[in-house]
Amino acid sequence: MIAAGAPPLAIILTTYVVNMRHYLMAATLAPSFRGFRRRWLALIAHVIKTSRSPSPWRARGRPTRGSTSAARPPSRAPSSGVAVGTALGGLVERPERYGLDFAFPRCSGARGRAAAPANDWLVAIGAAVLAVALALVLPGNWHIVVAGLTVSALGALLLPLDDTTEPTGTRR
Amino acid sequence: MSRVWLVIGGMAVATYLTRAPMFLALARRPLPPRVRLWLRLVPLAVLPALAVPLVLVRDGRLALGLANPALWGAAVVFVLAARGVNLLASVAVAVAVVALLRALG
Repeated sequence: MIAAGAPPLAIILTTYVVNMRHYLMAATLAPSFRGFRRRWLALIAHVIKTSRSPSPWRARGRPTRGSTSAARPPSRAPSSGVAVGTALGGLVERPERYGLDFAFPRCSGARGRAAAPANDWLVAIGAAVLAVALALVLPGNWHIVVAGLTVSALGALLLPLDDTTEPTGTRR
Repeated sequence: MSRVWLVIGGMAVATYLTRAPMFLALARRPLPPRVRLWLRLVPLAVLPALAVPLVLVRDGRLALGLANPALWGAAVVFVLAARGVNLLASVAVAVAVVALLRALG
C-alpha cells in the first residue's frame, strides 16, 4: 500500500482492522498473566502475536521451567485445550487465513495424551455441529465467529464452574 | 521518506492498541468465574468451528460421503492424535492418506 501511494491513514486503519483479532487473543491470555506488574504487562502485550504466543507463565511471575510455548499448561484448562486442539487442529489447512492461528501454539507442542473433561468435548462438539450448520447458510467465515462465540458463551452460562475458573496468584 | 516513517509509526501504534487494552484491563482484575470459564471455552469452541466445516462442507454442501478424501484424512488425524501420536506425524500421515485418495479418485 505504501508503494501504491495509499494515504497513511488508510494504511494505518487497515493495519488496525487486520490486527483486531488480537483483542480476543489478549483477553483469552490475560488471566494467565495475573500478578505481573503493569509495566511488564505493557511489555508482554507488545509481543503478543498470533503466529507464536507468549507462554502462559505461572502466576507469581515465574515462568515455567523450560517453557517456550503455550504448550506448557499451568492448569487443566490448557491441558484440555491441548487435547481438543491436538485432535482438531490438524484438520485446518491454513489457520492464519482465519486470523485464529493463535490457538495453535497450544497444540503444536503437545506431548502425549491429555484428557479433556467431558464438558470440554461437549463444547467442542456443539461448536462443530453449529458451525457446520451455519457454514451451509452463512457467507464467508462467519460460521466460525458465530458458532465459536455462541457455544462458548452458552457453555460459560450453563456448565458448572470447575477448578480452572479459580483466580490465580496476585503478585503486585 | 518521512511519510514512510510516519506510516510505520502509525502502524506500530495501531497494532499495539489491538493487544494492550484487553491484556492490561483483564490481567490485573479479578474476573467473575463465568467470564473466566468463557475465556477458557472460546478456543475450545473456535477450533472445531474452524476445522470441522473445512472437512464436512464442500462448495456449500454437506460432504459426508466416503468419497470425501478430507473425511478420511480427518478420521486418521483424529485417531492418531487421540492415541498420543505426535501431531506433526499425525498430520503427515493424514496428508498422505488424502493425497493417495485424491490420486486414486
